[in-house]
Amino acid sequence: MLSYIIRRLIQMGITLFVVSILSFLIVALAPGDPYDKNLDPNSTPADMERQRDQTGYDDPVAVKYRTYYGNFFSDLWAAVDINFLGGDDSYEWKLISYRSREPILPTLWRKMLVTLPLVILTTLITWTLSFPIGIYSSLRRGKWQDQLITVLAYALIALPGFWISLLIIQFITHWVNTPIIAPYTLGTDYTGLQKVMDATWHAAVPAFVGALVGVAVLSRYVKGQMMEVMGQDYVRTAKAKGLDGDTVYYKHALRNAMLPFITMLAGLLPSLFGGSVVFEAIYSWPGLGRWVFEAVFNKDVFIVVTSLFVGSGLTLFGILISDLLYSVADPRVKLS
Amino acid sequence: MSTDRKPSSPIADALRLFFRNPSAVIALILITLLASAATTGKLLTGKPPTPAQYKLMEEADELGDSVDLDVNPNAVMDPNQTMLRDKFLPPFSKSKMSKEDWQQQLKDSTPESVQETEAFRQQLEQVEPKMYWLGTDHLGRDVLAQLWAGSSISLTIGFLAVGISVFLGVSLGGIAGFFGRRPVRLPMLVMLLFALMGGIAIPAEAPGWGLAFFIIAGLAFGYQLVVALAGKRYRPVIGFAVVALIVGLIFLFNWNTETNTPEGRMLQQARMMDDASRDVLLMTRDLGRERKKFENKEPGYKDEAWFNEEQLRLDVAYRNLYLLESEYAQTEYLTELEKDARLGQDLIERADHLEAHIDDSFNPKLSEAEVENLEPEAKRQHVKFKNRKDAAVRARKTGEQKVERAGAITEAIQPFADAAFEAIEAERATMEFEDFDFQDYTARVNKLLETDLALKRVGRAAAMLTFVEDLSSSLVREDVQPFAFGTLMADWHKKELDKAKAEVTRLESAVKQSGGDKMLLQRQLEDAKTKVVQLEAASSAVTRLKDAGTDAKAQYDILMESAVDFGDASLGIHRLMYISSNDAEFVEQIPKVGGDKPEDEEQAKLWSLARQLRDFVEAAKSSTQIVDLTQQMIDAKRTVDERLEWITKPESELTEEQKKDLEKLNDYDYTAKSLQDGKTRDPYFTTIEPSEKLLNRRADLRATYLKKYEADAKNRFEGSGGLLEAKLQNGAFRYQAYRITRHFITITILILLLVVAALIAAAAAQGAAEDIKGPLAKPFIPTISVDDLVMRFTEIMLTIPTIYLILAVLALFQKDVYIVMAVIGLTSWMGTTRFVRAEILSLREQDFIQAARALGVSDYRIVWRHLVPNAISPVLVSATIGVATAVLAESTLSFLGIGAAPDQPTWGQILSTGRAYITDYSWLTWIPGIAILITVLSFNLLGEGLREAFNPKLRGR
Repeated sequence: MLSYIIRRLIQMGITLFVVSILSFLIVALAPGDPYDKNLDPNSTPADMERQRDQTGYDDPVAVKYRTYYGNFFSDLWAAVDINFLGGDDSYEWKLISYRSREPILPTLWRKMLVTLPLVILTTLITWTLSFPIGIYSSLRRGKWQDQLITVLAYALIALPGFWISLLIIQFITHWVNTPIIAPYTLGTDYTGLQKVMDATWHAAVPAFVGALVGVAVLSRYVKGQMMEVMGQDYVRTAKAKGLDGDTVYYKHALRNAMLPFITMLAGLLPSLFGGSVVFEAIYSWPGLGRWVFEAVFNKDVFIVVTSLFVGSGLTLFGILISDLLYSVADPRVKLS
Repeated sequence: MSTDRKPSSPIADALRLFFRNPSAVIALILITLLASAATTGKLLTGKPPTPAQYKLMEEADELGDSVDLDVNPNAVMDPNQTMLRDKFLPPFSKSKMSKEDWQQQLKDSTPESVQETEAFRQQLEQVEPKMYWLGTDHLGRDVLAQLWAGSSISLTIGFLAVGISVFLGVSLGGIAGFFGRRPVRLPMLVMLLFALMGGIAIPAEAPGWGLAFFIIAGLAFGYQLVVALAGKRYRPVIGFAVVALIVGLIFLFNWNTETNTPEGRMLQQARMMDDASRDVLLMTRDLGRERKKFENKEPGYKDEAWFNEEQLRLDVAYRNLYLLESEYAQTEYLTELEKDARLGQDLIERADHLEAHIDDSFNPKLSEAEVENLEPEAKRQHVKFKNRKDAAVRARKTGEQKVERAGAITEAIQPFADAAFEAIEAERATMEFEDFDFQDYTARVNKLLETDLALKRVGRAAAMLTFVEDLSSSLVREDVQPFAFGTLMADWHKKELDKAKAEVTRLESAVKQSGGDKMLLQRQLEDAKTKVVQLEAASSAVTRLKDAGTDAKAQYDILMESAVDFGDASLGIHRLMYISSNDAEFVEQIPKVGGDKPEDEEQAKLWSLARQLRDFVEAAKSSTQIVDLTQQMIDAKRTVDERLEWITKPESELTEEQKKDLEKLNDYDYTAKSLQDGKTRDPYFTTIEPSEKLLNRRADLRATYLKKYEADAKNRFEGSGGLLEAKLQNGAFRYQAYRITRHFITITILILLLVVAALIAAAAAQGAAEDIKGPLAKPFIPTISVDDLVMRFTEIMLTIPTIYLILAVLALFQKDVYIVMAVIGLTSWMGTTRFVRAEILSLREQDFIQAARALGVSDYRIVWRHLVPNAISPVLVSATIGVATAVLAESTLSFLGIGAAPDQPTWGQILSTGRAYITDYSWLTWIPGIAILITVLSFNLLGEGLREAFNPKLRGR
C-alpha cells in the first residue's frame, strides 16, 4: 500500500511537472500587456516600469517559469507554516498579481472560501437528488415514470445553464421580488440567523441551477449501474433465495452499484476550479471562477497559471484519493 | 425471439431498432430540419448587394473576374441589417416603417435592369411592411434572420470541433488499444522526447537549445527512416515523404512570400525591430537595477568604472537601435514605392484585361446622334463597351503614371538610400565589439572618417531622407501653396476685371444713348463701377500675395539647397564631436571651430564643414523651423561651453546660479570630473544616468518603439491598403493563399498531418527492425509501452482544467468563432481516446480478430477491415453527443463574450445581446435559448437512439 502510494506520488510529480511547463507556456506566451490599462490615473509610465520590474514582466519565459514556481512553493510553504506550524505571519508574499498587486495565494484562498459553499451545496443537491431518482427510475424500468424521467433528464442536460439562470433570475426578481445576485444582500447588515438565512437563500438558487445538469447526468448513470448490477447472477441468486425485494435492491444491488461512484469523488476537488465560471459570472459571485476569468482578460498571467496548476494538482490528488478509497471499498481491487 | 427469422445484416437490424424509437426519430427529423436550415442559412442570408454592386458583379462575371464584395446576391434576409425604427418589436409584429419605405428598400436592393420589367413593378405594388416573425433586437435586426444565419455557424462549429476531436481521439485511442502492448523502442522515444523538449525550448526563448533538440529528434527520425527502408517498408516512408513535401512546399511558399514581397520584408524588419528594442529595454532595465543598488549603496554594488563601460554599451545599443530605425524608415519608404509600382502594373494589366473583353463590333467612332439611332439592345452594348473602353484608358493612364512616378522617385533616391544603408552598415561595424576597447572604437571611427566618403554619404542621405523631407513638406504647405494660389487668383481676377471694365464701358455708352428709363441703367452702371473698384482692390491684394508667394518660393528653393548642405554640415559637426570626444582639449576647441591652425588635413575639412554649419544657421534664421531645430543644438553646445568654462573653477568662485546649476547637473558629475582629468570615455558626451532617468528612458522606449513594432510585426499583412487595393485587381492569388495558409487552423491541421505521417513511418521502422536484425537494428531497444506513452499524454491533457485552457488559448487570438471551434476540438479529444482504447482492447481479444491474425493478415488490414467497422458505431454515438456539447460550449463562450465576433450572429451571441433586455424584451432571451435547447436535446436523443440501435446486446430483438 505504502509503496503504491509512493509510486503514485512520484508519477503525479512527473505529470504535474509536464503540466506546469505546458500550462505556463500557453498562458505566458499569450500576447498583451497587463499594464496597458492603467488602474491608477496618477501613476506615471515610470511607476508602471517599476511595477513591471517587481513582477519580472520583462523576463524571458524560462526565467519567469523558474521565479514563478520558486515563489509559488515558498509562498505555499509559508501558508502552511503560518496556518499550521505557528510561523511568523509577517511573511512578505512573493507571488503577487500583475495588476491588483495582491498576494495571489491568500487571495486564492479567500476566493475559494466564497466559492466553496456554492460548490458544496451544488454537490449535496446533486447527490441527494440523483440517487433516489436513478434508483426509482431503474425500479420502474420501461414504465411511464421511467420514460418521463428519461425525457426530463435529457431536457435538463440540453439546458444551457446560463440561459436558465437568466430566466430564473428574471422570474425571481420580477415575481418574488427578492434579490438573489451576489452571495449576500448588498447594503444590509444582518447578523446571526438572519445572516445565515440570507446567505443560504443567495446560494440556493445558483446551487440548484448548477445541480440541474448534474442531477440529470448522475441519475442516468445511477440507473445504468443499477440495471447492470440487477442483471448479475448474484442478484438473481438472492432473488431465487426468496429474499424480499428491498433487501435485494438496497443491500445486494445498491451497495455494489455504488462502487463506481467513488471514482466520481475525484472530480469534486477540481470542480471547485472549473465548474463555476459561468454561474459566478451570472450571479455576480466574487468567487474563484470569476477571479480567474477576469485575470485571463487582464493578462494577469500568474493568477491564471496558479489556478491551472492548483486545479491540475487537485485533479491528480482527487484521482489518487478515489483510487485508494475504491480499493478500500472493493476488496476485489488490488493495488499494484 | 423467433428462431425461423432470416438472418439480416447488422445495419438493417440497427436501423429497424432505431426507427422503433420514437424520440430518436423525432430528434433525427429535427436535426434534418436544422441541417437544412443551416445549409439554406448559409445560402440565403447575408447582405444583399446594392444595384451598383450588382452591376459590378455582372461586369465581373462577364470579364471572368472574381470580386470580393462580401455580399450575397441570393440573400432573402440580412441578419446584420439594422432598422432603428423597428427596434424591440415583439414576435409576430409588422414593421413600423411605411409601405413606401419598404418599396424604396426593395428598389435599393434590385439591379436597374430588373427594375424596368413588368414583373418587378407588380412585385413593388405588392410589397407589404415586413413581418418580424420572431421580433427584433435592440438595433432592429430581425431575430429570425440572425437565428437562421447563426444556425449554419453553430452547426459548422459543432461538426468541425467534433471532427478534430474525433480524429485525435480515435487515432490515439486506436494506437493505444491496438499497439498498446508493444514497446516504444529507443529511437522512437528519443525522437518523441527531444521533439517535445524542442517544442518547449523554442517558445521558452531558448532557440539554441530548441534547435539542438530538434536536430537530435530529426537524426533519430532519419535513422528510423533508413531502417524502415532497409526493412523494405516503402509505403509509410513514401507517404511521409509526400506529406512532408506538401507541407514543406506550403511553408516554403509562405517563407518566400515573407522574404520576396515588400510587405513580407517589412514584416521581417518589424520583427527585427521588435527584438532589438526588447534587447535594449532589458539592457536598460538591468543597468537601472544596478544603478539603484549603487545609489542606495546596497551590498555588492558595482564601481564607477563598471558603470562607465556599461553606460557606454547602453548608449551604443541605443545608437544601434536608432540606426535600425532609420533603416526601417527608409525600407518602408522604398517599399511604399515598390507597392505603388506594383499597383500601377496591376492597373495596366487590368486595362489589358478590360480591352480584351471588348467586342470587335464596337465602333468607338460613332457620333452621339448615330448612337441614339441604334437599336435599344445595340445601344446598351455600345454604352457598355464605351464605358469599358473608358475605364481601360483611365486605368492604363493611372497605372502608367504610378509606375513612372514610382520609378522616377526610386531612381532619384536609390543612390541616397544605398549610401545611407552603406553608411549605417559602416557605422554599425564600428559598434560591433566583443571586449569593448574604447581606444579601438575611436580608432575605427577615425578610420571610417578618413574615407570621407562615408561622411558625405551619411550626411547627404540622412539630410535627404529625413531632414529635407520634414522641412520641405512644411514649407510646401505654408509658403509654396500661397504662391500657387496667388498665381491662380491673379489670373482669375484679371479676367473678371476685364469683364467688369467692359461692362462699365457698355453701360456708360448705353446711358449716353438711351432716352428712356435712365434710372435702371444708372443703377446698373453704379453697380458695375463698384464691382470694378472692388475687383481692383482684390487684384492688387492678390498681386501682393503673389509677390510674397514668389518670394517664398525663391526662399524655399534657397532653403532646400541650404537644407541639404545643412544636413551635410550638421552631420559633419556631429562627426567632429564624435571623433574628438576623448580629447578634452579638442572638446574645448569646438566652440571655437574655425581656429587658425588645424592640426591636419582632416581636421581642416571638418572645421570647414562646421564653419559652413554656422553660416547656414545664420542664413536660415529667417525660417523658424530651422531656427527651432538648430537652437537645440546651439543650446546644447552652449551648455557644454559654459560648463567647461566654470566647472574647473573652485566652488568658492562660483556664482549662486552656477552653484544651483551644478546641483542640477549633479548627475553629470562624473563627466565633469573626467573632463577635468582629461579622460572622457564616451563619444556622445553621455553621462552615467541615475536609475530614475533610466526608468523613464525605459518607459519611453516601451511606449515608442516596442509597442509600435510589436503592432507592426503583427499587423503588417492585415492593414496594408495597397494590398487591399491589389486584391480587387488581378493577381492577388499569392496574398490570398498566404492568408489562408498562415491561418491558425491551417497550420494546426498541417502540423497534425506531418506528425501523424512521421509517427506512422517511425512505427514502420520499429517493425522493420524486427525483420532485419542486423547491426542497424541494434539500437532498437524496447523501452516503455505504447499504451503508457499515449495514456500518460492523455492524462496530462485531462489534468489541465479545460475551461481555463480554452480561455487562455482564446486570449491569444482575435475574436473568431472558427478558432473557438478549433480550440474546443483540440481540448476535448481525451474522453474519446480513453473510450476507443477500451473498445479496441476488448475487440482485439475476440475470436474473429485472433482468427484473422492466425491467417497472417497484416496489421493494416486488421485495423481497417475488422477493427474500424466494429468500433465505428460507438464512435459515431460519442461524436453525435460531442456535437451537442460543442454547440453548448460555443454558446457559453459567446455568452461570456469570448467566442464569436460581433458580426457573427451565433446563438450564444444573440443570447448575450438579449441578456441586457431580459426584463422588458424577453423574447430576445427565450428564442435563442429554446433554439439551443432543441438542438442540443435532438443531438443527445439521436446519440442515445444510435447507442441503443447499435448495441450488440440488443441486436436481433
